[in-house]
Amino acid sequence: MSLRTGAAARVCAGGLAGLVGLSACSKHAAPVEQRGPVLSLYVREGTPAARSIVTPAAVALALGGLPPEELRRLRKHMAESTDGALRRAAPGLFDLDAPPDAGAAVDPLQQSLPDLPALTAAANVVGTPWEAPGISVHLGAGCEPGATRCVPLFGTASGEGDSMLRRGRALTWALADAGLLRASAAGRAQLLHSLREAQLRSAGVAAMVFAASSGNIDPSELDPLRHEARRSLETLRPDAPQRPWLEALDQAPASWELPVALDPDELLVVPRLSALARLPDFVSEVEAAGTFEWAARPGGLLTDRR
Amino acid sequence: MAGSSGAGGSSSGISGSSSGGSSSGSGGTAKSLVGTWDLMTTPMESTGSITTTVVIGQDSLTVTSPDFSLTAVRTGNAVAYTDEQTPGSPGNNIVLTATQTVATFDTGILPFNLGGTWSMTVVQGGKNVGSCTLSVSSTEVDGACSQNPGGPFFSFTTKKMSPGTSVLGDFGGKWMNTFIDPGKSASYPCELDFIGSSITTCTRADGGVGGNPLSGITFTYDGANTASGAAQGWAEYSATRQ
Repeated sequence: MSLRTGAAARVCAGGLAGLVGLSACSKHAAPVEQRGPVLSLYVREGTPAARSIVTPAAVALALGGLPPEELRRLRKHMAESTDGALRRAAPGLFDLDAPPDAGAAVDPLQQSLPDLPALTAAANVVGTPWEAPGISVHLGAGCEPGATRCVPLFGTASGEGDSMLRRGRALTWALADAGLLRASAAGRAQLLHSLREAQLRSAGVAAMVFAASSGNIDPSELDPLRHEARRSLETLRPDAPQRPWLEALDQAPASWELPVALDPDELLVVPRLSALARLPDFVSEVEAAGTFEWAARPGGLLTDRR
Repeated sequence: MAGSSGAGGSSSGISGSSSGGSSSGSGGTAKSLVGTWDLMTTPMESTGSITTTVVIGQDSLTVTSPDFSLTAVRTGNAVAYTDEQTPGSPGNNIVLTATQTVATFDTGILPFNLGGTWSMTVVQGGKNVGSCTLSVSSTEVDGACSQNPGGPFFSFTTKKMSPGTSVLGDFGGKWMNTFIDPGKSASYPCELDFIGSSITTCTRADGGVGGNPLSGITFTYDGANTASGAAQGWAEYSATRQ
């Protein structure tokens, strides 16, 4: 596990090299004892400027973190939803025998709700720098110069009694509370299959599963999704809440990339935002999926798999 | 399985000095939601990167987001809720003033005195636009609202079906809420479960169109500094105490 090249460029000189690099960091930031990605926490006065985190890169990452077959299901539901909206807008052009309110019953897009946690989580993963009133958090390969605090990204406890750490980890929840798994080649495929089955359950607590730190979405899946996004946009009112997501999907690149690198035997499982108060349930769901070793436990929780 | 040599498990890598303090931040305790919270939600619109700040005190509440602010302050037996829908434009504020006839009701970790009967008026732009009544007891919670003009807006009854233990005190147990929409001459039942540190309401089965407004809600408090869940069956949220 290491940080990807792009993010590493922001860290203090030589940070990857350990002690030599760490000595180049500000003396205000104490050394970090563990290798790997590090969160640099800053005290920031005032309220940060608003910016959209619903980006094409976030949508591409979400699609990369979903089971491949889910993309076809999403496309189907988007198409049905748009067709329904068009029917409601111009009923005379479509099935005249349909009851008056038939299209308004259950929007097929609602059936794609299991995909929303992935979109929410992906927006957080690529949301660097993470900011809230009074605090800003950066991800890097080492402790940044001038950082008020630094903490390893993975496996750190939630910071009871430590407000700044707790806030910093909460802002970066999708990665900071993710589970990092190490699986043998023999059991890896089955583990991945089980995790992806779990992530689509409405009562599930996992949002995204990654077996690699970058990848490409099959154009034969992505192009029809973009097409359906454009069709949906044509039927939506200007202030519709789903419009930013659809605009981002329309522009989503085929390639996606996590801001952290995974070793070949590692899997990354990202929790749902709604499950952050239930991290023990998240751990249980992941552990029920198969055989593996924890490289980093969500929230630093101790489990039977030590 | 044997463990990890990576980043797992230990907090030994935390650098810098701890701010110390109690196990719960911003003046709160694990037995109360009192404190200042960072609220994150499913991102929508252009301000998706900004957290909402929620300050919970004994009988007081402030919610501040880029798009609106809400404050609730108690004075004697009256609570005033001010919804500033457009920051900087107080003329658009909605003010709900609720007057309470107090009765015993344990709200557990929720630091609000809710028990008894309430009479409410809703004022927007200096005009009385509605009124509501509410009664809260350990066995039944009922309410009704009327619009002005317009007459009856909605009403609901909520009866406890079975008791249970909950961090929310007398809310503990399984309830049946029935939401009544007089405009459609329709009623929508919804079971509400307050068990342990969680709330779970009936599944939102209608695709989000109409129905019971309490459907599709989940809430879990971890007993320390995090609460999370979903609303309307899809919008996720998580709050962390500062």
